[in-house]
Amino acid sequence: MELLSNVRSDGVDLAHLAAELDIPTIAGLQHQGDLSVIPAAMAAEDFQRPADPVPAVGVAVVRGEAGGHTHLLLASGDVRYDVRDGAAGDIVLGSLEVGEGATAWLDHPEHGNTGIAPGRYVLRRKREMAPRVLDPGAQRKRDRARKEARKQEARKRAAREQAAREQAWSASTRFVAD
Amino acid sequence: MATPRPAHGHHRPPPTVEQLALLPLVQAEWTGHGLAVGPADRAAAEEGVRDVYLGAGRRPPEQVIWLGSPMAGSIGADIRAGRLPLVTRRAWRTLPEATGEAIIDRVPRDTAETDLIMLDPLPSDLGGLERDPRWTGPLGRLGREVAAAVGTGLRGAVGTAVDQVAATWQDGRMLPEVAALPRLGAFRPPMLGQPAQLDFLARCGVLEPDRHGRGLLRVGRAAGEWWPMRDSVVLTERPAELHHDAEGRLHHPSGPAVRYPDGWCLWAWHGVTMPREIVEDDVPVRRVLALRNSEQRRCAVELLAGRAGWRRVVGQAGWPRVGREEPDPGNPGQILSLWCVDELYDDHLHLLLMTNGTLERDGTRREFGELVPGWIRDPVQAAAWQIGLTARQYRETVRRT
Repeated sequence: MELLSNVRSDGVDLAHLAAELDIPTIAGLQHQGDLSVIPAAMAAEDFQRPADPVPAVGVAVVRGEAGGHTHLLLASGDVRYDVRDGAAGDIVLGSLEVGEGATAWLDHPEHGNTGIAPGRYVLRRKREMAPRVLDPGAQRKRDRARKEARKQEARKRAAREQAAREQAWSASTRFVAD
Repeated sequence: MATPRPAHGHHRPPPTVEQLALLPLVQAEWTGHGLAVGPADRAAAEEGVRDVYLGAGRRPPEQVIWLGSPMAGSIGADIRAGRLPLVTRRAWRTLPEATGEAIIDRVPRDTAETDLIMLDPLPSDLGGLERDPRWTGPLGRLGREVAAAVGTGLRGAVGTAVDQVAATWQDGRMLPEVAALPRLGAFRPPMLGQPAQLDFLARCGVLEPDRHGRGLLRVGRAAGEWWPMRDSVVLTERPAELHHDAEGRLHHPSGPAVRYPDGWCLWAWHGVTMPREIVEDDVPVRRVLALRNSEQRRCAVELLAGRAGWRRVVGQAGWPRVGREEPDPGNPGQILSLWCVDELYDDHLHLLLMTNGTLERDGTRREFGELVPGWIRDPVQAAAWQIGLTARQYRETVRRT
């Protein structure tokens, strides 16, 4: 896959390169893997006007850890991005502002590039529910309840089968009336 | 009036910067010893054992028995204790037949051992050091970190596997006179941190280890698990193969995560030990869902999903679908679906099945299964919940890559 970050080191103009690579520039809601670019209108409560301009080397918005890849934010023109220093469970990564006439790009080795048109955005990552981990006592109780349920199920089935057998037997048996 | 109370007769200066700089080195070195792979240095280990016994004021053991794995070592120690009739079939079955026979041949059964000798790496009196938080802080951390790394990387799983197949009281009912003998083959309480602490103090020049301590360090550097008894010692080899994931947990996707030279193996998926057939064979989903241990069940389903794809797993498992399948906004041609996975987790959760927007290098699309709360009954709402939007907002997605 042709990536902006692969050729950027030659000092090539990013905007030309993006046009050459045919990278679409989008103003609406878009997702790159686990990373979402949300127009500030949809998430006004999380948007704070950013102050730090994006440097030429880009900003690693999501750092690749344990086999993952880095989502890299690149910019041409007046693009500002502030990392939000939230809690560990926070899904908001930061606020992005792309000035008039500027463009930002997100670069990812698996998902490729995508362009961000002028406007204000909130960057969020995906969250997932973690299954509850039960303490051993609760686990045992639950296992016992499950076992009991299985047993009852088996008992019920046995009773049903018995009833069916009895019925079949009574249907196929005729008493001889003397 | 506050007068500084002299806590102890003689004072130790706090650790210097150079001494503290030794900590990561010692930690890395002892973690490395704990997770070492390859043949043991038998001569060094046997000399260490001699030092341990002599330093504790004991006669060195008459018999030095080398075995190939912790499981073999545990069985060997139990045989030395006279518990051979009580070694379970479950335990023998984990070893190749030839290994079992070799253990019986190699371990003498003459006089029954009655106890393990005490190992005492750190003397209780460190000259006031043990009461000085400037020393106990780094020391405690060193011990804990070495123990945690070696525990998750090898010892925890090995210890559980060895103790799981031990004889229970039900097994012992038939042979009460054998069951009354002490079980020497139990996996010993982990002594991983103390050698590292002792080594650190020795390198700082604070504490000169005695003969006993030097012996312990020597054995720790040269061999795997060992069982020191009155007249004999059982020493074991280290793994021949050891595989970890990026977080240092036991892990191998298609073969044994630990293999010992005598053929004893453990299979594990991201730190959770698994039955052999689930890792090595292509088992049906139903077999995986029949696993009793909920942690194993979850990991095995993940393993299958990684191999066969979530869609096949969901289809074969027969879990009920929640809501309708919906086209994925911004991801043309792909659908989102929601499945009830209460059977798999001890929680009311739904599984959102989605497909990657980008084609992989081999031309397939990657499938994802992600958990969402059970109150969500619409797949688009589930995808929107993941990034904190409403379903209506999520439908405005322009592009997904």
